[in-house]
Amino acid sequence: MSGPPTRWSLAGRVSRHVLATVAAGWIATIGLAVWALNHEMNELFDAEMQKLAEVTALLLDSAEHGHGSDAIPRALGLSADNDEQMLRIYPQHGTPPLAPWPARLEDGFAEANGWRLYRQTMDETVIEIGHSRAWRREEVLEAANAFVILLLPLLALVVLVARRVVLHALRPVATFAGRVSARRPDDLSALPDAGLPREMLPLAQALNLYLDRIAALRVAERHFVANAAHELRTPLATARAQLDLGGAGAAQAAMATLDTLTRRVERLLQLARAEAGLGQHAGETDLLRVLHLVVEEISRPTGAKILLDDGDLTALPLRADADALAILLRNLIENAVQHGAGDVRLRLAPSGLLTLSNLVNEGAAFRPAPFDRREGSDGTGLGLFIAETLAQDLGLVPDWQIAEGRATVRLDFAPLRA
Amino acid sequence: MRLLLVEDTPDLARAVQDYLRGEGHAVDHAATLDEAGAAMAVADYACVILDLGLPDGSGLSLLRQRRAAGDRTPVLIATARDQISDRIAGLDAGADDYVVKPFDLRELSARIRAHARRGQGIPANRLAVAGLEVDRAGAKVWRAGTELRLTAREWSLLDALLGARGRILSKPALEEALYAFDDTIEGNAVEVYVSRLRQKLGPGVIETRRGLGYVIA
Repeated sequence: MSGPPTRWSLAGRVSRHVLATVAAGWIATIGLAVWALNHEMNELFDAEMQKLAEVTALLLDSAEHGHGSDAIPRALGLSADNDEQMLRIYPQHGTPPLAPWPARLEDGFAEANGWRLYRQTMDETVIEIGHSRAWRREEVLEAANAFVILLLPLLALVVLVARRVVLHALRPVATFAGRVSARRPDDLSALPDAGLPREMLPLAQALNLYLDRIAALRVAERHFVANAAHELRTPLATARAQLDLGGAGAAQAAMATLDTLTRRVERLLQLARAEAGLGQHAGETDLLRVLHLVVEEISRPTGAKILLDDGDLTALPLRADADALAILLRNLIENAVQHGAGDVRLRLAPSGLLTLSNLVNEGAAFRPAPFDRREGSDGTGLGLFIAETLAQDLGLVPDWQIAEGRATVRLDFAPLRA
Repeated sequence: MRLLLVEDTPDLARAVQDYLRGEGHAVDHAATLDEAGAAMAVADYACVILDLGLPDGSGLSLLRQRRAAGDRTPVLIATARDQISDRIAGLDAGADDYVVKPFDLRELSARIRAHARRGQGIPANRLAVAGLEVDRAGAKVWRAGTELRLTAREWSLLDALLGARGRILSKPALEEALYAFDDTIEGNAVEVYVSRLRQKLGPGVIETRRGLGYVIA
């Protein structure tokens, strides 16, 4: 079973990018710093070699004049077997040692066999000082490691600070998204764009244009349906009245057809209203008053017995569009009257639970799919589809039940003042 | 009865006029708000059949004007506006009834007769009982011209008492009226609803006969 797709986070993405950029910058900086450190340390080491050569020369000189042929005191710290640093002193015309680096003829700095060398000749004595390249590298790396290790806690701090900074910087985006997601689907009012950053302003403005457009379309749609209702009902009324005057026979037969046509027109107008989002308009409506009016509208011409138990309420205010509510209730009650057997019972509880029930014949079933008609029915097969569409828009989930010869529909309304 | 038909569709107006004249009424016709206002200002009608969508405005504005001026002529709105909000607006503006087009002429005529009689102070379908005016068909009660709002159970008890025509109704008989709503009812349900009815209807309307039951005074 696969879960919902994981959405990427803008804050996470910006944080990652910022941190990657900072880390790359830091790595480059450390690289450059190590390169510079290496360069400077080599210069220092070279200078040190030069100084050591000078000091050694002075010592040789003073030994020659003060102590005759006494050996040079071993006080320079560079032993012969040291594989990191080495000092070699030998007569210019004698046999030079060949290890660890070969003999050289010129004074100054040189590289040989992994050694950095400095040679200085003085009074036919050669002074050679060598630094192992590996040793020098190791010294530079030790210095660089200390540099990196000291930076690591700072890097962790940067991660935390960068995350907070990104979240803070993206707060207008989060606030705007929160405002948009908290809106009801019927809320077509303009989104406030005050305080939005320059980058988000076009988004808010574009959304507001869309909302304006949708609101205008909704109004136009409602006007169209209202006008269509007027334009269709008036000629139907004229035709019916004229047929009514025509007396019995063909006129009466035509009148029955006209009544069927009227019912179908009504259903199609209701469908148009439901699909135009009629149920999404919220206003304060008294459910009980709407129920009474709808029950009266249905029972007066049809003579259907509809028993309304108002739960001893005199009003039940709730937030819903009165017209949507009336169409929903009308379709449910008419469906019960037309397809049920016996009385229709409506029970409204103070909690807002409305229960509609009636006896049904064997094999009865709810048919909420559009144009799904029972065989032999002269209906449109739209009533329950319209009811379900409007219930959805009103935030209701109808509970349809048929059991023990009784059909029951429950709608749980949310009263404003329970 | 003299009636005013306010309708801007000529063919429909002619058919309705013909039908109502055939029923023995005198019918004046107005096709605009101006004509209707002028007619209502000079003539005394038993009932006005008012369309809402008229060329020079909404019939509701005329209705509100007439009601604000104290005109109590019964007004029956006959319109193509089929939404419940239109119906509520019409009734709240002072209409006595609301019929959506297309309508049955016989039903229209019956409604006109009922409202016209009420306007003339002779409502055939209303009872005058203990200072109350009761429309049993419409399940409505008025006291001193003000409609009282009864719940379904309260109305059911009152209707049962009215149906007894002065006879005493026992508690079990009244419980029968409440069984329409519940398969089981509380033992003191009748007392509770009679008490509520007394509060709404006023004292002296429902009398208790100890050991026997209740009766409308």
